[in-house]
Amino acid sequence: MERNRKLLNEFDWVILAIYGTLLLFGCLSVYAASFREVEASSFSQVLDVNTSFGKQMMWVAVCIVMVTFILLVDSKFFTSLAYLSYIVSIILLVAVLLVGKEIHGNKSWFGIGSFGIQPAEFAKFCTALALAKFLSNQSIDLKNMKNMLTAFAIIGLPAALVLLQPDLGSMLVFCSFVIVLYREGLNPLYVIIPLLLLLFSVIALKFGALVLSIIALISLSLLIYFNLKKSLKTIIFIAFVHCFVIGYGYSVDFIYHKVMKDYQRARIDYTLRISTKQAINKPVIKEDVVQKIVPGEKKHRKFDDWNIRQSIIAIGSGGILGKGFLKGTQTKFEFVPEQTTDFIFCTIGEEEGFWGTTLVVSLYIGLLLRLVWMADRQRSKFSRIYGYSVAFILFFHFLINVGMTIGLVPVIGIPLPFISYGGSSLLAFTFLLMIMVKLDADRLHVLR
Amino acid sequence: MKDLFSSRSFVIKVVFVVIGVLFFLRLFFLQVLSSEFAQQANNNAIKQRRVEPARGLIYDRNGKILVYNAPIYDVFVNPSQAKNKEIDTTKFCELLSISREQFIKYYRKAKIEFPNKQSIFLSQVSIEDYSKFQEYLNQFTGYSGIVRTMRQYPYNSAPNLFGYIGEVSERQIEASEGYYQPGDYAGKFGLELKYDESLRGTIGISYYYVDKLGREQGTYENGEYDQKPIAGKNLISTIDIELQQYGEKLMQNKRGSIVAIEPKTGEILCLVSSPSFDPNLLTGRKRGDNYMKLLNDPQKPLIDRPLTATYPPGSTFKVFNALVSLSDGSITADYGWTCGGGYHLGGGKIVRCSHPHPSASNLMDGLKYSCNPYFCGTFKASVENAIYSSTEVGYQHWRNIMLAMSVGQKTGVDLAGEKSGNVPTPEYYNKIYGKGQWHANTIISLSIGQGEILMTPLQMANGYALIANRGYYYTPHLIKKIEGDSTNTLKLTYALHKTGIAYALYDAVCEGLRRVVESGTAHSCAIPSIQMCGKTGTAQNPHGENHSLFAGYAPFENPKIAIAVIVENGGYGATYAAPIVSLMVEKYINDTIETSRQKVEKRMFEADLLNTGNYGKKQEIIK
Repeated sequence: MERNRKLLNEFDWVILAIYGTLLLFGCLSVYAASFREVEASSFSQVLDVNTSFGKQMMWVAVCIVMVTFILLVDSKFFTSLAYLSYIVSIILLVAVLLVGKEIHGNKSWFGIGSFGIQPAEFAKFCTALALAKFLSNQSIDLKNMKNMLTAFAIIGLPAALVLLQPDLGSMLVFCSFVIVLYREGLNPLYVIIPLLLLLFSVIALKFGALVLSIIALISLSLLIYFNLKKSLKTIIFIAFVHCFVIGYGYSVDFIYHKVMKDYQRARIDYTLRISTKQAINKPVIKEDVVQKIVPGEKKHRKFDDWNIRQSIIAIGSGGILGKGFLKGTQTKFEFVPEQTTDFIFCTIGEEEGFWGTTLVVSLYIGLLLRLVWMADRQRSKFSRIYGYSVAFILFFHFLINVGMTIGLVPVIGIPLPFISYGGSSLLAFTFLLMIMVKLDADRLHVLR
Repeated sequence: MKDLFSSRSFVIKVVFVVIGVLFFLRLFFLQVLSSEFAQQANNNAIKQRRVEPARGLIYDRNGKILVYNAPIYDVFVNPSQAKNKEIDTTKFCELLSISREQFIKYYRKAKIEFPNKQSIFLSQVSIEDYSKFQEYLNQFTGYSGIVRTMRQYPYNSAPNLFGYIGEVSERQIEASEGYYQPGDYAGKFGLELKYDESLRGTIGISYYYVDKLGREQGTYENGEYDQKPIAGKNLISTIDIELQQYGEKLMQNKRGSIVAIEPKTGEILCLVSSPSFDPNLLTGRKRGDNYMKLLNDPQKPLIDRPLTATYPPGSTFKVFNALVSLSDGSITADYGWTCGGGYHLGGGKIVRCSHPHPSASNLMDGLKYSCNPYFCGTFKASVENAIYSSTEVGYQHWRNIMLAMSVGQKTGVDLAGEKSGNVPTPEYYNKIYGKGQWHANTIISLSIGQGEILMTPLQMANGYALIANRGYYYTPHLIKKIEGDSTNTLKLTYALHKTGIAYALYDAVCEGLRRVVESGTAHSCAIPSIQMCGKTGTAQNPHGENHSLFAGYAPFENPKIAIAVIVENGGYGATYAAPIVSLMVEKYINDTIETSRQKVEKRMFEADLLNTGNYGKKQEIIK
């Protein structure tokens, strides 16, 4: 009895409370997003497992069981299974490419009856476990090239496999592990250089490759001028960098114009507010322009900018107080695409308004800060690395998902943790977070 | 090392907070500062639909419904839901009476225009077809029907009066100042056009939700903001539909017109244009085809003859001529004429009578015998009267009085397209003969209603209404009341016109007209129980057989009906026009035809000028 109370006190109740609140928000939002006035005639129908909400409720029940299980089991269980779970998840990622069900052109699902399982979601926490296990070994130092490459390989393998599906969103989430490595002593250049390249891309796309090369020329010349060691070596190096930047700028340009598909270009155009000949700034619904009238083909192609526009209209129309639960016309009448999954944040924005979105954003930022704080208090390296992994996985999901619904990030399909509809992601995120809660609770007992 | 880690952890925390603040600001901008998104969301999901009001009905003078609305159905299709491969298209086409090619054509049109939305597939399906179709509607996924209304005419009569409704033209849309939109139906002709603003009512608006595919998702705020349509106003017409139908029957297989007016009020009792057709032909899906058929019919049934056909009035004009001569004192009722030698124009030309008769010793007998030289005499006496400084002034005076009697002048009837007819101006004759070079004898044929004189049948009837009233007429009209709701029925008032000719001067004219029927040119048409007054006319026309005319009123005392009949190419006035007038008068006043006169009725019903060569030669009667 005494031991039990002690055990309960050791759990981080802040995280559990935030988890519970987000889960509740999720249930209500999924209900609202899948609610159809015409169909919801009785409560029994609402709980039917064939409806989105019914399924989600079933998954929530499964999650509660899982949470109990994870919190009761000894944390050694997770450390010892780290590599095994990683290997299993890699096998599943390969298998899904071979025998997976193709949905919207992506092979990311195993279909089991009316349910689907998405191995990429589970691979995220398995990779986190494996990475933590690897880096927690005392003999590992990231300044050692071999160790560093091994760490990159652990991350890169599942990242490459999900990219083959193709699932760009999950691939980017795997990239978040690089920041974990940064926290663990990786040279900051590995983070700074990708960010610089991102900046160059934005400049090249928005202002053109020429402007990028001019900016590069000026800034690098200044660097040479102010560089105290004006050795030939540095000058050659800087000239080389300059050539690289110019080449990079033009290849971005080339990829944008020649390699990308129309819809991908439209997403980037919208995010960067580039007005092209497709006149993105004009509120024109392009629905009918590109659709093909081919017998038998029911699916109509649309420019993705229509989707993001509807998403922003949904959120913007919510105002300060929102339209009220179940009263969002943008979501109820399906103007917003994928509204139970990738665009679930629109339902909150439209029906709950500014206070609802602020609450959700605050809960996430609170959760993330708490996780970083919690990771830093771990005595064990494994727990710390795992904790950072959890924080960055959740952060990337949050950043990309919410960012795209409010038009700050290009549209990349990725769920909002604990809120979006979907059993695999809900279960995987629950595992991810609860394992950290358990590791944290055990931090005083176990020395790893 | 510790410092490094804690500072990196700090950087990470700062990044999280910065992103949080960034999102917060963006959401603040979108949700609090921007106001356009709420409107855009409403534009997406809330649509408005115009709700057509019921069009006003038209009643006859006795309260019988002449025009009402019958249900008709439009079939809609939503191509994104329709499963044409699964439905029994043969049955589908059969039920809607369309061909397979039409089915494919209509479907393709809907699919190209609105692939995701419900749009019109087939319009104006009759209730008979639709009720059969509806039984199987659940098998035809994606198809649905919406009820509309169509005009129905239970009496199959008077198409020229009612006109028809059709899709609005660009001009009507502009003129309606925002009321009409393309695809709406509006009055195109006849009363439907003239009284369109009263009949159409006020359109309503209902708001409803749609989803992304344009499927309806219930009403907006339970219809709180909807505007209910206001039904159109009903028209109470002056028409006696039974008289109208009787007239149409008498005129069957003949070309011509009957116009009857209630003299005391100017109310038009019937307005027959023959050949006629069933106004129901111009409703529903077959309207276009039928319209083309009628348009190409050589007998020109679409022409509204009573208002738009002009004829030389012939001898029916003699009364107007005589009235002018009486009014300026050129003659008195005792004016006499010895007919034997005819009227000498000089140069050996003589105007003679078409039939032998005793000389007329006064105006009454002049009318009774329809003596041509007599009225040449009165015309000359008037136009060349010494009180006028010249023939031109005399003729100008004569013409002015003619116009006051609505001869050669639009009556102002409440239907569009009325023609004015013609009484030539003095300037016209100056141009032809030279100023001062023409005299009464030059234009003498005017005196007997020939020459340049042209009148519409409506003007003739109106002129005789004026004589029946002895000096005045009300603007002839077809609508007397516009019914709003029960409280605000609008009784229309029409102008009173006076000729300025003294009341007493009409005595001789009326007496003359009475004698025409009693013992004169129309004595064969006398009605035993009614004292009818009138004048035959046999109008020469250059294109063929003379037109048969008769105009008159009845009864002699307290007249109830003034009427004019023209049977094109019917020969003498007494042959067709006079018997038809007598039957119309008897029908209107007595409601039945006496046994002794039923043989006349039968003869008129059976008279067939269309198929016996009268109209066989290619002619252009209508000007």
